[in-house]
Order: sequence, then structure tokens, then C-alpha cells
Amino acid sequence: MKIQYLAVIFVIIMVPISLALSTYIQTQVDTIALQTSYKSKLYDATYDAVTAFQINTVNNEYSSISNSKIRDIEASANTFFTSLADTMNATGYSKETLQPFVPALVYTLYDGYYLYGKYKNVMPQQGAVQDYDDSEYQWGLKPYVYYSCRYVKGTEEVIVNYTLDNFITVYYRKGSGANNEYETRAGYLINPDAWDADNSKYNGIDIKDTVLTEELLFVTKDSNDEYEHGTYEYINYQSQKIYIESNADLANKYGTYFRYENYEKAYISHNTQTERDIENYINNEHGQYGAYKYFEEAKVFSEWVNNTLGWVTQEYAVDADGNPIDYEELQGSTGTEPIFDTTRDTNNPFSSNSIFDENRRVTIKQTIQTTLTAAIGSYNEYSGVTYEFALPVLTETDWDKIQNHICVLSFLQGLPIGSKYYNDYVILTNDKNEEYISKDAIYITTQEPGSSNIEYHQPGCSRLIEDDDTDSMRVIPPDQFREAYYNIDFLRQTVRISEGNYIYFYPQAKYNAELNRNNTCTACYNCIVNSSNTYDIEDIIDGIIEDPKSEDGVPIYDASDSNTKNDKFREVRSMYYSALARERYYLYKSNDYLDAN
Amino acid sequence: MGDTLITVIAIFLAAILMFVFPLMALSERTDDMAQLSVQTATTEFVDNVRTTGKLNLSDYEQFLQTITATGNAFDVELEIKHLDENPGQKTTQAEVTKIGENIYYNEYTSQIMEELEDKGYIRLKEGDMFSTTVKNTNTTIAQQLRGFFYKIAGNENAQVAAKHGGVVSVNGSGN
Repeated sequence: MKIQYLAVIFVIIMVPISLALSTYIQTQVDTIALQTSYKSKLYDATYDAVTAFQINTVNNEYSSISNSKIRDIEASANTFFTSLADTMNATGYSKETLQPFVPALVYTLYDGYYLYGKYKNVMPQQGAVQDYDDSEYQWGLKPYVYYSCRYVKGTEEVIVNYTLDNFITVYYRKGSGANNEYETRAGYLINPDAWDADNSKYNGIDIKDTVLTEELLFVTKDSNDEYEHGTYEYINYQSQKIYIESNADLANKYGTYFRYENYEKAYISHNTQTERDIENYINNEHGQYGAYKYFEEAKVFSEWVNNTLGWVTQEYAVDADGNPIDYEELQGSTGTEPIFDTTRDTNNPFSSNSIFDENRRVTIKQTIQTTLTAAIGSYNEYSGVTYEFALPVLTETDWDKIQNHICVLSFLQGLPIGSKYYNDYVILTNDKNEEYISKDAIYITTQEPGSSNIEYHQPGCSRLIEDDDTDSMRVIPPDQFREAYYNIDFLRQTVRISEGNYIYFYPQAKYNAELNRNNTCTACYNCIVNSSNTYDIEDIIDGIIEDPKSEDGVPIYDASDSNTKNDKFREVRSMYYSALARERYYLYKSNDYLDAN
Repeated sequence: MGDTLITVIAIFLAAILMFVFPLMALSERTDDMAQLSVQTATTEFVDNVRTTGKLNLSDYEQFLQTITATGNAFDVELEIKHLDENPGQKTTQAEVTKIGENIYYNEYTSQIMEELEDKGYIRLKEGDMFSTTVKNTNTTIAQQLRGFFYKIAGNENAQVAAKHGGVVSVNGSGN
């Protein structure tokens, strides 16, 4: 055979192989490119949902009340779908066509979570007007699920609702038949022996109460045609801020106290029961300031928990059907260690290494996993698309986010992308909200003498803790330390005058009596704007900072060491713990009323 | 005589067909695969920083390992834009109707690497921006073979290149 024929045969064989191969690879490339682009779209939409939730809660004075919370979450879910549809519009997906591919949108909150999804809403036959068809599915929030676990031992039974921090609600039953005794309590779990009420010290840390003030801006105008504003002292009464009128004339005329409602002063009239209640509350010793009360009440509650629930271990945990829970599978077994005995060193509920915290985290994981598997699994029956939906395996890092933060968790499954179907999820944490005071949500303010600028820092800022200046950093002497507040108080607040006409203010940019004008309030360049130069918040909580570069673990700062180089560190811890306790004490909790008995 | 010439040409053509053509096709596919894995690795690396708010030295080294496993040498450029809201917050009460203006200040590869090697991680905050650009610095086989037939002038002709970036959505100071 001539060599030319060989070449022709070769070409006949090689060209189709090459063509097929290149088409195949091209499809794979397109698939992955599409997958990447969908992932970033899902990510962006989830971020939009988080932002919508933040904006709504921060600017909503009632955001902690549950029906207002539902409204905020529904608005956020709506933002998610609108944003997803907007970015997907070019690929031909609209909001309606996309919705079936989202089997669940999960909002994990302080003491439980909401699941946004498709469900069948059946209305009772009698009563209200029915404006929709019982047989049709609709999109909305499903009932709230608490992070709860049930423990049964003989005739004793207890259900514990966990939260993102050390607050728990306990439903306790003892005895059987007619001898049933019920008790229901809620509160913060601490080590009761560590609180020294006489000296106001927790674990050796000074707990100091401070007078709380903030700047307010109103829609009303003063005689100079400028919007009225002022710095007012406030107290937290029933999880609401009550301001004290500083102008004596106005106080006499309208009322000593007012609420900030619709960007105006809503006075509490003189000689009303509300006014008397507030006055009694203020006159109560340690009444209006939360830090001392936090530990005082937590001690009483913790003693009760230690006595009543000393027997509770993981052996007695059961699920809804009464079957024991498999903690090995959940990777959170603490064996026969008592969960609620908090007097021992290994079980300080503040620390994330404690037995209590391990159980808190594993309960959150267990409740979410069980409900979500069921919800996504059953979604197949009425999804309206042919894809087989299932809960993807969440990594440990993802669980870590869910167990310690308010999160939005979004799933997008079943969209055809080239050679396969898209199946992914996104978890984003949300640290600016009024649902939960996370450990790193406290800022400490400092002010130089004569300056009109307040600077705010993270508690771990090296300028606050270290003693000596370096080339790139100037330390702050302790006499310039001012106050500690929740990080939301440093965000810009919006006042709506009319549609399209907004004015803004910063609650912490307070009036400066010396200079007769308002301070400005800026973030520290060392720890917030460029957040690299900080110590870890867990180090501040534990009271020991180790040098990350040395391997022998010698602490560079130790709060329990009386050396003067630790003075600033002790002061920062005292401010941090006091503010954290105060803010947590005032946080609206739906089960708070149970503490009344 | 004519027959010999044809044979020589035929052998020459056959050599190109049977050797260079498959080699080119194959090396092009290799580059495609390299491009794909580099693009995926870059996106994953950047998105990981965006969702955790932390840039770790170990993650960065892992990323370098993944991309160099394609058999190419790379030039990696990192960029962080730190959000600075302070100028906006300094607006006085008199100008209260003015919306705060945000500015960004940037850090580039050499500054980032210095900090990263010193501390092992860099914390970012919500609102910062992070981006990574990757380009190959070697000449891949496909590029060499193509250079054999035709030349593309200029330096900016990286065969395997990827770029990804975006806004950081969480504070890296949390645990």
C-alpha cells in the first residue's frame, strides 16, 4: 500500500476521535463554567438575603417581636428569589421557574430556625374567609423549630431548649400519674460559684455597670429649620429602650420618659401606670443596668439547674419517637459526663470547650439535620420538577458557622447544566442583627483628651492591650478608655422623611459638652478597618494570650497574673464582660417570661 | 524523479499528520484541562476567603499546589481592597443629609505575602474585596508547537489564566 493511503486512513481514524474528544471536553468545560457561575449567583443572592435581613432588623425598632421577625424574614426570602431571578434572567429563568429548584431556604436564629419552602396550607373549615384553595401548595415560612433535646430517666423527664449562647429554657416533669410536678424555667447558665455578688466580680473579673447614652435624630425641625437631634440617657425596660428627657421644660410638659418611635419622641404621660412601673424599675437597686443583674439572675437559675438536672447525661437523650440519639454518628459524644453540672472546671458554659457547649452544638446539628432531611426528602412529592432532591452533606466548618452564628442557608438543586444537574448550597453568617449578641459583637470606645473624635475598637485590638508603641502602631493609655457597646450601635441609622428623602445619623456620635458640638465616631485602623492586628476573641474570654509565634505556649498576657503589664488587658476584659453581660441581658428572648417564677 | 519528489512530500506530510497534528491536538486538550482546573481552583480559593473572611497561609499553599500540579509555572497576584467607612462617618451634624462616602485602600501581593508569612493568616471584614489573578509564566507545549507554525507578538499571551474576585461577606474575626 502506498504511504499516501496510510496517511488517508490515519486521518480518517484520527479526525473523528479528535473531534469527539474536543466536543466532549468542551461540554465538560461549559458544565464547570456554568456550575461556577451558578455558584456565584447563588452566593450573591444569599448575600443579598443576609443584607436585606440586616437592614430590616437594624432599622426596625421592633425587630425582635416575633411577627415583625416573620415579616423581616419573608422580605429577606423575597429578596433572595428576586436577586436570583435577576442574575439568572439572561439564562431564561424567571422567579416562578426558579422557585421549584430551591427546596429550602433556612434562617437559623437565636433559639431555633425557620424554613422557607413550599407547603400545603390547610385552613379549618369554619371561621375565617378562605382566600386560597386548600389543595394548592404555597410558598412561605414553615413553623419555627426550636433547638431542643429531650432527656428521660425513670419518672423524670426534661426538655431543654438550647440557643446560640448559654441561655437555656428548661421544661421539667417529675413523678407519674396524679403526682406529676411540672417546672418551667429559663435563664443563663453560668458557674454559680464564680459569681461574687458582694464585690461584683465574675471569675475575678470586675463587672461594672455604666450609664447608657446615645444620639438620636428626629424628623421634627427646630427654630433654625434644622432637624432636631440630641444625646439622651436611656434604660432598657422590657427589652425596649426608654429614653430620659434631658430638657426640664419638655419633661414637665409631656413626660420624663419617651420611646423613639417613627423617628419622633413618643412620651410616656405623667401619672400613668407605665411611668410608675419604669420609675420603680429604675429605683430598684442595680435595676436599670444589666451587667450586674445578668450574673445575679444567672446564678439563681444555674443553682436550680445544677440541683435539678444534675443527673442529665447523653445516655438519657431521646428523639421524638423515644429512641436513643446516636451521638457517635453526630460526632459529638460526651459519654456519661453530666451536662448541666456547671461547677466543675471542665464545664464553664462560656467556654466553647465545655461539655455543655458540646451538647448545645450537637443538639443544634441534630435538630437541623433531622428536620431538613425530612423537609427536602418530602419535597420530591410536590416539587413539580423531575429532579430527585436530597440534603447534601454539610462539612464540619459549615456546621461550625451554624452552631455559633445567625445564618442563612440556601439550597439550589436540579438545574440542568450541560452534562449533569446543578446541586449546591451556600451558608452565610450574619453578624449584624438584633437576634443574638455574638462573642465578637462588642466594641470598645476610646477618646483622646480634647478630641472630638471617638474611636471604636475590637476587644482584641493590640492598641488596647499592648503597652509600648511600635513603628506602625500607637498604643492607647487606659485613661482614654470610655465605654463598650454592641456593634449595631456603631452602624449608620436611617431616618425616612419621605420617599427618596432620607437623613442619617450614628447613635454613638454623641454630644461633646466641652467642645459644644457632636463627636464623630470612627473605626480603628488597626483592628476594624484593617482587622489583621488583633488578638483572638477566645483569648480575651479565657484571659490568656499566647504568642502565636512561640511553640512552648508561654502566655504574653495573663489576666490572672498581677504584673502591671496585664493591667490594660484586665481593664479590657472587665469592659468586655460587663458589656457582653449587659447586652445579652437586654436581648429580647421569646422565653424570657418563664424566668418570672 | 517526479515520483520521488511526491514521495518525499508525502513522507513529510505524513510525518506532520501522524506526529505533529495529534501532538498539537493532545497538547491543546491538556491546556484546556489545565485552564479548567486552574479556573476552578482559583474560584474555590477566592470564594473560600469570601465566605470565611480569613486568608490562611495553608489555604494559599494548597491553592499553589493545586495549580502547579497542572505542570505549569504560575504568576499569582493577590489583591485586597480594605473598605474604609471612616471618611463618611466624619460628616458633621450640619451635613447630616449627606450619605457617607466609602473609600477603599489596597494591598497587593508583596504586602499580603509579607503579612501572611509573618502571622499565618489575614483577617478581612464584611465589605472588603478580595481578588486573585493567575497566569502561566512558562511556555506550554501547545504554545511551542503553535509557535512553530505561527507567531503571536507581545508578552500578554498566557495560555492558562484565571481571575476571580468579589466582596467578602463575613467578618473574619469571629470563630
